[in-house]
Amino acid sequence: MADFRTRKGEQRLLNGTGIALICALVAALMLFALPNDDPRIINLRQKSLDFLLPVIEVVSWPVDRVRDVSDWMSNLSTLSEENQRLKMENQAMRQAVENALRDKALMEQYRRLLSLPKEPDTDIVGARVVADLRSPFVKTLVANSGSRQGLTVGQAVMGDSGLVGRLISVGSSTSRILLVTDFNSHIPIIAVSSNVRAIMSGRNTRDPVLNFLPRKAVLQEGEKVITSGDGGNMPLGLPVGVVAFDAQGDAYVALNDNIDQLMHVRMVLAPNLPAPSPEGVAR
Amino acid sequence: MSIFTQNPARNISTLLICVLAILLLIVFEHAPLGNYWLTVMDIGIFFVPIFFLARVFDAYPALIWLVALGLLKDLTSETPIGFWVLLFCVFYMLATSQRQFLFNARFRTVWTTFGLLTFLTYVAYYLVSLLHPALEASLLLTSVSAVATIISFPVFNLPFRWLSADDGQYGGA
Repeated sequence: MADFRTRKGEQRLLNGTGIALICALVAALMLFALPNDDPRIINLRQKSLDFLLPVIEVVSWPVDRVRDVSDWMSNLSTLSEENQRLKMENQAMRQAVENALRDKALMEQYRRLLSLPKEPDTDIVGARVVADLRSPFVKTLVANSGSRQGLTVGQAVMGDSGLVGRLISVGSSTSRILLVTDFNSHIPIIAVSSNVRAIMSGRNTRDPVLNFLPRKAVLQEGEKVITSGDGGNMPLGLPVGVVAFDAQGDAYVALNDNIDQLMHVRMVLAPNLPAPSPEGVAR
Repeated sequence: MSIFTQNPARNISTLLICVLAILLLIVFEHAPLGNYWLTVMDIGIFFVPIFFLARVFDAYPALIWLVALGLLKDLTSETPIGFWVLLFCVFYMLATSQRQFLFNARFRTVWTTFGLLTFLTYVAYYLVSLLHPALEASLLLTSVSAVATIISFPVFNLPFRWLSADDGQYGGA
């Protein structure tokens, strides 16, 4: 074992503390000088995730297995109740499908009568959530589908029953999902019953809030919220959640999906609407 | 100078084990655990191997690795580039300055020092997140994260205690 007395001969500025101080100063300079939204940095983040994906999957494997076993155990104990519930749900779903088919036929007739353009068809790509990048600062997930599956930046991402986010970067085999709860997420929505348009914004907490509500808007608790399709990035009518109010009386959206338990997601491959030409607008 | 000066091969293996441990802890943080509270906190378990590294290894190669790992953490956790590099360097700087004090110290002293250094690093974490426009600071969550990191020290430090047992680190139990 070396003696600490040898350390007395070292020059203090060149030892670990001094070098670490210089590195810390350089890091502080980088932190405040480098723009966070630089496309090269976004690309680098995506590349590093593509590279690390196999390691993340290996590390997650034991966690996934423990989760599977725990789910299986809890399912086993409620099997009979679950079966009963599913039978009733199935009955209700059959009725809902019949109603939906009737409504679809009616909608088609109205559309023809009013000469409305048809909403573009949407395709769905399924993916598994392979990494959870959520921290106090950001709320993003990584899914194992990318440009090879036809994904592009901006596409809507659905959970089992509602919108959960949108794609912010796409690699060859992975894509990053900005959750609707992230501070940087702003999605145009409509409250269905009151026909009120608003922007659903994340605030890094569990539920996104409703901003830019019209002055005299009256929202009802529990009314359904869907995407409005404004801006052309997302299709109209994707289910999001229901309107709720916090203790201060501010409106927020209680999401249909539990974002914390997301295992699989569905990407909506809706074609982006082309921007109108200036000539067309003038006419 | 390192206090592991007698066996260079052992020095390299110690460095590699620490680097691998930090890398695995950074990656494991991104495993989808499905728990809301784990996602709103930043528990810095990787400070445990950094603390060990700062006490036993030469500055030059260790710092190069720490800067690289900090950059990797910045890239994967979507924080502004430099945030975790800065915190890793601040923690390493604080830890190396305590090398002499911690030599042959009792475990309770080591833990207390780790706690103090972690607290100071989380103060830096909070101040930087207050100053940076892309980061949103929460005093409560930062404090809880710091406390969770300090509490987890004895468990995550066990492998490093075994690793250093031959060389008399943490000599007094």
